[in-house]
Amino acid sequence: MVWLDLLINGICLGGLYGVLGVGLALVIGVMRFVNISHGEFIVMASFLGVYVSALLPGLNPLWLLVPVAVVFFFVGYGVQAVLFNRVVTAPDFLAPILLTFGFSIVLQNVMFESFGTDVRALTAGGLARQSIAIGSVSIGVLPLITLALAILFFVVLQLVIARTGFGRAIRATADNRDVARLMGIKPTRIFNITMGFALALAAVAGLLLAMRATFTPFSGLSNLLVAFEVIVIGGFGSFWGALLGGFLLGVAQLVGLYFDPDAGIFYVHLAFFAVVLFRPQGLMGIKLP
Amino acid sequence: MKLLEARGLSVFYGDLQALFDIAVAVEPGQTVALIGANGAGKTTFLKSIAGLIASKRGSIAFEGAEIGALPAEQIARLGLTLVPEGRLLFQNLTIEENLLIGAYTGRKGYWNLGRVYELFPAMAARGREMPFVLSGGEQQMVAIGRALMANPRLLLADEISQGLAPVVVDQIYKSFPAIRAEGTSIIIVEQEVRRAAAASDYTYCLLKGRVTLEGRSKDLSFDQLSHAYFGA
Repeated sequence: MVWLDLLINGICLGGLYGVLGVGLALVIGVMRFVNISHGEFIVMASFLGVYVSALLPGLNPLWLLVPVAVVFFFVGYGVQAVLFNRVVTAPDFLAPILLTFGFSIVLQNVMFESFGTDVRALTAGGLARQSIAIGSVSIGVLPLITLALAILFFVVLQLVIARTGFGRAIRATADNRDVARLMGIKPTRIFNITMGFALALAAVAGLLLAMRATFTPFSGLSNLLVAFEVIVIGGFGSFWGALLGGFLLGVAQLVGLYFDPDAGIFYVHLAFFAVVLFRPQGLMGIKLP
Repeated sequence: MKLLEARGLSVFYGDLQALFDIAVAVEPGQTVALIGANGAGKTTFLKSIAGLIASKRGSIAFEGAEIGALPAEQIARLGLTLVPEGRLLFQNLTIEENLLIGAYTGRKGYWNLGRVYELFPAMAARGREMPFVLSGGEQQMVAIGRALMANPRLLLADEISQGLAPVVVDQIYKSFPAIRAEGTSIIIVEQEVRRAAAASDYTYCLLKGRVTLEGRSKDLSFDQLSHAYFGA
């Protein structure tokens, strides 16, 4: 039963990892743009969650998900409009990497100056300790909620992209910017909204992550690493691949920790390495849905 | 008032000049043919009209308003639509989605999904398929349909018969009267001189970035055209 326990809890954790990666995957898929500062936005959402819940003691932090996601949607829209759009079409592939890498360092130091280096966490109150027993398997309520939310976000994102007129415009822009413009689509506007969605998802990941693990202003890099591993395992630009990749990494982490309690997320990286070695194209295709 | 009037249009690719002082005019309801060999500047001309080339000099007026400085997405909203060379359908989108995205500007008019399917009945049953399953001619129909969904005042059709079998080209040219009947003017870019002259009211011939001949299509002799075409 230990195995079932590890599998189920690993999948719950993996759902969160999937959300961590999918925003990054969305941006790469739509605008061929790698946002190195994605991890810092996740940490900023964690900080925002900690501070708002300090202002409103007793509030279940799950209630913060929607308002923080909305705030980060506009943050994403603004950052893309003011900063990132300047390099999205740059002929030099280094320009986006240098800009977002530099921006991640700026954000780290702003957080360091503002909040110090104390290790923090978002307390989920009683929710963090509750669990339900199914047979001999015990599953935490918070991980279950996390998994449910992760699946909800993936389904909603999939529906928006595959079924709405806006999603159609996103796919058209991802396919060929110039031809999309001939249809009257303004690519930079599509990019702004896409980054808005991506950072809203990052914010959700940041809050959920802060409820189960501690963080500092410098946690962005490890978030980015996991996000990258998720989407590389999934196959670049594949949403469902990102969720699957998240599941694999979550299970790898918990199985690893069971046998080797000091391993941290070593086995996550090992699983990533194994996939890259044996299936370099990722678990699923490379196309948008 | 002319529908489109380009005057003194010069276009540059870096240090290279691709068009020299082009003057082209389209009257409302007219079909204009633009002929010329490879590299004559036909595609460059259409792209610069549609706003895809920013590095240009001269004036481009559409329905009396200067559009030379506008980006492509704004020009599309004014009712000037380009069917690009090589069709360039969106490969991530189904055939029907390709048509629907043509209506992104929300311009109202005669053309909608049902009417485009009436124009190209073969496409009606295949809306859910992906573009790569289509033959070149069918892709061209979808590309034209996609452009019509924007209810354009002026349709720019680039290399409309490129790589297509003559029978298929006939079929596509047969759709033009129906398009014109709904008040859309057309600029056809074509390498096949005779076909272009037969389908158009007015012809411009481009050679190495310059207009070498223009006139009412029925007044131009084949000798004149081939002389202007090859510059011999």
